[in-house]
Amino acid sequence: MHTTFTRRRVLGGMTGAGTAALAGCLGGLTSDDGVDPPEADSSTDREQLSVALEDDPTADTWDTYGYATPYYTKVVEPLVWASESMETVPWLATDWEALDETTWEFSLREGVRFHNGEELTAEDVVWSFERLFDRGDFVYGWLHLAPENVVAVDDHTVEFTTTEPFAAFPGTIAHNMVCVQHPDSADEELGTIGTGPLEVTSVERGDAVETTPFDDYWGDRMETGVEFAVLDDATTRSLSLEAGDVDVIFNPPRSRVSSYEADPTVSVLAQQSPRTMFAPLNLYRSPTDEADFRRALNYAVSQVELTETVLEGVDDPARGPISPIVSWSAHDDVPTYERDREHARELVESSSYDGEALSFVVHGGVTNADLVAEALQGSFADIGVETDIRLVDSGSYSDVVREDAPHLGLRTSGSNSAAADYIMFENFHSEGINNIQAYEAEGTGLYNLGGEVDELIETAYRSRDLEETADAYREAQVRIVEEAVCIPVCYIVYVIAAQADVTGIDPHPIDKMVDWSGLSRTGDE
Amino acid sequence: MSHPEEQGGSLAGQSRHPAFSRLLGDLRRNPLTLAGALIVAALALVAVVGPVVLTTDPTAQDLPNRLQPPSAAHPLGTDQLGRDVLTRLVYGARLSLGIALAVTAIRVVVGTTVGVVAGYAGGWVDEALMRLVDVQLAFPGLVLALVVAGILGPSLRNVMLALAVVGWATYARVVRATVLSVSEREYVDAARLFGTPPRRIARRHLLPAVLNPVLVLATLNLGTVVLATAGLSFIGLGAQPPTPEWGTMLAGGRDYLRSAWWLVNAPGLAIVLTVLGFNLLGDGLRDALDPHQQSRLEEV
Repeated sequence: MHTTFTRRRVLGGMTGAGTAALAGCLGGLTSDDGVDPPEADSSTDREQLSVALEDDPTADTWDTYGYATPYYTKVVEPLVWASESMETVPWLATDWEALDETTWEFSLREGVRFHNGEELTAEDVVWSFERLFDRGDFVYGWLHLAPENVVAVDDHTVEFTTTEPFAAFPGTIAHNMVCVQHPDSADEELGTIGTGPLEVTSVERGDAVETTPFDDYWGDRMETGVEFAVLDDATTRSLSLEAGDVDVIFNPPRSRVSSYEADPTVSVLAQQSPRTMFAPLNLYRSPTDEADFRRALNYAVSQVELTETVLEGVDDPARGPISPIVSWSAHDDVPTYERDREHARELVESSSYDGEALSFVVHGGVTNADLVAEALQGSFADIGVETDIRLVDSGSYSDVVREDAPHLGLRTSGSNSAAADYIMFENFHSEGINNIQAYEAEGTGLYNLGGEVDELIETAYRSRDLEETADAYREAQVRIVEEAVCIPVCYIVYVIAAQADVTGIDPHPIDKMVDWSGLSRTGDE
Repeated sequence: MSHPEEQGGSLAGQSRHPAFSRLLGDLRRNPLTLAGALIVAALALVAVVGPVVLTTDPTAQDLPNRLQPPSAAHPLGTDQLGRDVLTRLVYGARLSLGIALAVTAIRVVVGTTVGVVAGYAGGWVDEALMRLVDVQLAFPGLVLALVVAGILGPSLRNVMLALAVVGWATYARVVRATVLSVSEREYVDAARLFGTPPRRIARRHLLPAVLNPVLVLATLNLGTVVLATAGLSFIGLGAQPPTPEWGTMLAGGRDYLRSAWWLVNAPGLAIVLTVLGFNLLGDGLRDALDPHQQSRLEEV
């Protein structure tokens, strides 16, 4: 028998089969065929809970930590940490003191043991800082330290000498990346040896870090291990949570948050962070070099509308570049730009804007940044200003901005330590990382007003008087907002969604410092 | 004895006519081919006429009315920024089909030129060009396009370039094989003996012979280019906001799978229909224009 198998017939057959398969899938979901879908794994004998992160916890950047991120995992710990009110609090160091303008002495907690059983000493701290310097030149500018400036005075005392007066030093090292490791961590076979409540049991590159409770932890011992896995796509994270594949996820899609809040099988924790999304404006390129044109762009935007619509009511509308969770934020002091399209159009008409589209570079790695950028683009179009959006990935945003000097950017900036000083310095000081290239080459920059603002920022980070620091930073923020150096968008709120039977998650303003110490599944005890 | 060019011309003419009749007959006989042709015709009509008929701006935002389900005012609902999904889909059709045509045209021109030159010139020219084709075919097409688009930077123009750069080799190989076969024919030999210039031989005898396989390949290719463009835009390498491109629309709607089903289903269905339409039509064309292939399949 001759059978004719044309491609057309196969395609037709496949279409039918596809439809049948789709119907079958849908039928399966609704259990019309009488077969229930497999239940999510809710076994109570599991010793490990799983947490899905946005970032790869085993990325190359964590090579100095045995490819196990110091963020989130609580495997390694710093000398000091940040409290929930963003104050510097004792951790592996019980006390610290400024001996003079540049010298700091830290006393170590006694009886702290590493995961290999050895006791923490000052030499371990010195070794850990030396290893930190291996990460690159940025460490020198960030910590204002040189490798030879970290000295073990005795077994439990470490002395740091900063390269210049730096009052924010203790707060700056209250950071997950400035953690203490045992020198044996240099052995790749052994991996990270820290002092934290969790110790690493395995690292699957590009996938997950698995941990188990450390029995000899100096603080409250954890009852359960945690697997930190990467699921970089927000939709995949939420689907994994819904399928019961993971217990906890960071930042589900904003569009899912309200439905999770109404879902009894999911618990939702929302926490304001010290991070702000804003659109910085290039002060040295026409027409954004004109203050009134920059103000026009600010008058075109409604932060309340943005947060209530495209950000799904999760984040808070911003008024300035610093989140109010930072103690010296000028949120209440800065002038506000209520949306006033008529006034904005007048300002545009009186500017030198010639109708050409402004370049608008957007940090594609920021949650919902693409949508916010499009909404901003629409707001600018309403006042007659055109923009060309260019989405760039996380790794290249800073380089693109420094090289191309676009009229506008869109990014987030925040602190991962108790001290948020570097947000001001890096973004708005002439020698900050965003401005220094053009400042040194041409005396310009990008987002630096220079002069008095530079002086205020310097005064703030050098002063030991907290009141003086706060006043100087607030004054600098007022000047930045008055001169419309950026368009504040929102203060970022991060969201953790978990299976309803998972308890003991204690959010921290800094998402990377979430406290898992009470983590358990109801009924595990 | 008539001039061999006339012979060749008449042979080509004879072969075109029955093929065309077979195509029309096939369209009549086979509903799937007809469906493919209708889908493609409908899409082309939408792409050409749609933007003229629709008065809505595909980029006009209306935040208070975002994520509205399909209604009389918005037959396919509104998106995350309150834009009309139907309008964006229609403008997207123009973009997707325009890119597919442009990319395929570049592939056809480059591939056919390389194939004809290699097949007719032979020798080291053939060797060199075919090794180039081998190298190009050694890379997975979409992966290579991904690399090229990644290097050039995200934009629709760069996606077009990337897809054009990676897709011409198949044409070159098919055309070369046809040219090698045809150039052995007596009427081509006769044309050579009569001193016909190679360029004229290529134009009058070789190109008509490669027309059918190239047409079939191009039709099938249109669908894959639509798919590849949408894929590259989906991962952010193609259209930039607020361009209404199907892949970008699909990516934007991903986070709203549960709450606004129309955001992904509308562009998803458009892509499926387009690819299916081109595939069905291409398959029908092949059956009609390439009887050898058809008879081989029928012997299975």
